[in-house]
Amino acid sequence: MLCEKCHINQATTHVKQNINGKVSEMHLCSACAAGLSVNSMFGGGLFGSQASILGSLFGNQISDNRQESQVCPNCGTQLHEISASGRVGCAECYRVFRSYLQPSIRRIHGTAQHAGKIPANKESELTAEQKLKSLREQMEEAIERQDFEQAALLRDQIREAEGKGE
Amino acid sequence: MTEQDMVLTTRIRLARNFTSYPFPAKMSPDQKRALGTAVAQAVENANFGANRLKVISLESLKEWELFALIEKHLISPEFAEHPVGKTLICSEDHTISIMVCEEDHLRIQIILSGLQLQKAYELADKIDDLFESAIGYAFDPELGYLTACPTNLGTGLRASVMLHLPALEGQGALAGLSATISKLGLTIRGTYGEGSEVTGSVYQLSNQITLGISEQHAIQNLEGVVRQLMRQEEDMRKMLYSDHPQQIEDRVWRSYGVLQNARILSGKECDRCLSDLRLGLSLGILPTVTPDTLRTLADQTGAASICVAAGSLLQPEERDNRRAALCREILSK
Repeated sequence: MLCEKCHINQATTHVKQNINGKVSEMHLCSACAAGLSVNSMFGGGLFGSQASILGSLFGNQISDNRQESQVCPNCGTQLHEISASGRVGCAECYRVFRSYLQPSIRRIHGTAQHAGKIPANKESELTAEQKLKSLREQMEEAIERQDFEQAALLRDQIREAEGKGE
Repeated sequence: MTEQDMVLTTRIRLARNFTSYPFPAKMSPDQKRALGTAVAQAVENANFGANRLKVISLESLKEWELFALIEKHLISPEFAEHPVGKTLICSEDHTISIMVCEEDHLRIQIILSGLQLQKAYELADKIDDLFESAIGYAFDPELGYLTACPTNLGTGLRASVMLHLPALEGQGALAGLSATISKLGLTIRGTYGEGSEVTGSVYQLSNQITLGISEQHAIQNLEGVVRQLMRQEEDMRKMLYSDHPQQIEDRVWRSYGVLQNARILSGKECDRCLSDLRLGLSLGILPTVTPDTLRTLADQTGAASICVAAGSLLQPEERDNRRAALCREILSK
């Protein structure tokens, strides 16, 4: 069996990790397994000294949970790297580390709910509530720029969406 | 006094990432090159008027050419720091610049002169749509567009306006204002982005929050504060001039004299003199100088621009000589 991380070497190590109660198992080669070093699993206690100003935004949340081994299976980024640099490794990191990142995201932006542009192909993935929120904002914006025709169209769409929700 | 007397440029930047690669910090040089090629292909046939886009491999540039791009705000200092594998796509008139593999896969940037936030956003939005349909973005319904740094999550939009605020700065009013500005979710800083020193009284005002606020709201919010700052700056300029006409005129004409006659001119001194000329122009003190002349001076007197014009990396002393000669030449026309 090939290593599930690098897909190059033979897997020699079986790693089990628990992220927020979600247990995942991986078969890794010795090199990739070394990436999940004991130090990172049990928290080196280096956060304070290494953390950049931005990284310190995450510090609190992360150090509370540092006993867990946390590695993004997609890019191999470890949670302590995010804490030190204030940057995540890939889009997948946001899913893997969501519970750790979310409080900091709230602190930075005051919310954790996107408003504004949505890629056309992602609209179907939105919940009814998110769609309504987006429609309401578009209507408010139309009113602000005095485009009442557009605002009326949006109002009808909101009514229709609200009807469906009930 | 018009908008152009206080607003130099408007900039819009969108941070975007694709799902196909990890973020740039985790990419190999070959992956970066491959992404650069894919991005270039996506805009290959795009038509932005007479604005042809050119693709530049950052590795192929000399050091001072990179500095010149930073000076013109086409790339960030961070982007130039490790050029291996990175690609820049920019339009001939420097309105559009797309950095591939800066902190995020894409940084789509639009620079327009004066206060044109809406127009700049519309152009960025159009380019954004091109990549969206060609490659596909990393997006989350709750967190919006996913970015390497969580401070850019949501819209990934940074809208900024470069303001010339000599009167407010001179009266020490900016320190108090910046506290108010940050409460409104905006940031005010020096010309070259984060942490940079202010030269020539030019400040960058930009939105700070990107999650939970739509593009339109962020832009309107910024524009509202820009207009307030402009009003205050205008009032302060008029007040200063009516209270101390002699001093202001002396300051403007003195700087004009320096630019017209100096034999050695440092970048800092040049910026300061240019700032005085701008102030003078807005108060009707300098009848012979046009906004175009000022723009030409500002565009050509940066340290890197002087090196590019010379075709070699010049020592500071040599640059100061050439800068002085250049100003004399431009002002004698």
